[in-house]
Amino acid sequence: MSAPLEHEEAIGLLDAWVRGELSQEESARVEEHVGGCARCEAQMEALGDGGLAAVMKGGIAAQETDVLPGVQRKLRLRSRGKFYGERQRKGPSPWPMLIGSVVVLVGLAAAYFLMGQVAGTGAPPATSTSAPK
Amino acid sequence: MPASAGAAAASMPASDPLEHPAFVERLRARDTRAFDQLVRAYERRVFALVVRMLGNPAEAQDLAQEVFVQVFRAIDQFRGDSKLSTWVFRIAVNLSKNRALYLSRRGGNAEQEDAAELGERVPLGAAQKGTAAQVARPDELVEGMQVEQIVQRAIAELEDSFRECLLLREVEDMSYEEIAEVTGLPVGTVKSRIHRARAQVRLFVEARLGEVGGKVARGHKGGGK
Repeated sequence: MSAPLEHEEAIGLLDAWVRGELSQEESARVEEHVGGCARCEAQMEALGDGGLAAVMKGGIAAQETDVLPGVQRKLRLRSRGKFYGERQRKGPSPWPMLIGSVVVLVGLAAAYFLMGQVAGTGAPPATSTSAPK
Repeated sequence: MPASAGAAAASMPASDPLEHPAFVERLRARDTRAFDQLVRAYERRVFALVVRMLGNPAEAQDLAQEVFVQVFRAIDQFRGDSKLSTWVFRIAVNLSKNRALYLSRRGGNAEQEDAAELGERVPLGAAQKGTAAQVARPDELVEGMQVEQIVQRAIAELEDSFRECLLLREVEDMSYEEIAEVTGLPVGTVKSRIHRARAQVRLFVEARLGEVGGKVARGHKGGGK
């Protein structure tokens, strides 16, 4: 038969015992110790049913984090824009819109000029044909 | 890494889309959308691990970013004989160890110590200033507010190799076999380190709760007179 557990040993097995991770023999030894140990009882009360895991996770859950933007920035800088470069970051290129605008403006200017030409060349022939009469 | 664990991971059906070979191929092709998906899926867990390993949120934020940068750069070295998540955590653990070593050599981990000490001081300070009066029972204040801070301090005091095993088990819910894969230790060593780490943390908590409980009780006796 195994010797009874010391408190320092039993306390390290409490979490595994609560979760049912121990062998039957280990479990029986922990149970025997906990039954008569006020310090173990206080531990169970302080850390609750979830034990260490619940306390550790609880603290972490409160911490918000947003890692992605920093990762993208580092990769953009270290790859010199090959990954997560300007185009990806700012969306579509402004050049097609700019060229389109220039073409429309040139077209309008050309149309205005041509209409002026037509209006200017249409009047004189009318006066020149009426003159010989 | 134990060969049996690797083989088990390789033969495991990839029900998680992020563990699917096609997804890994997209990562290898440096598909930034796939990579963004990977970061979003693991950023909280990686941060949770490294913040506990370093104890300093600002350093942890930077290090968590470095973990994913390293994943992006080294994805060609991922052979697929373990889960992708295990490989990511292995990188996180290794970088955390290196950073912790660097910080301890630089002596720049004062912030971590300050934060841990602050965790201990605040509730007592608050009690002295009367904040504790809003709590019906000072022992509830101790139990509710302080246990988390005391546990944090206890974890910070653990030896690195004990801390990493405990965190992977308690925070990441990893099996002993997965922890062995991440750390490169035999399963038996992992188990023993986790039990010893838990014992150290719980003994630390026991000692601190005894101290603080005593101080609060004495404060109340003094205040009542």
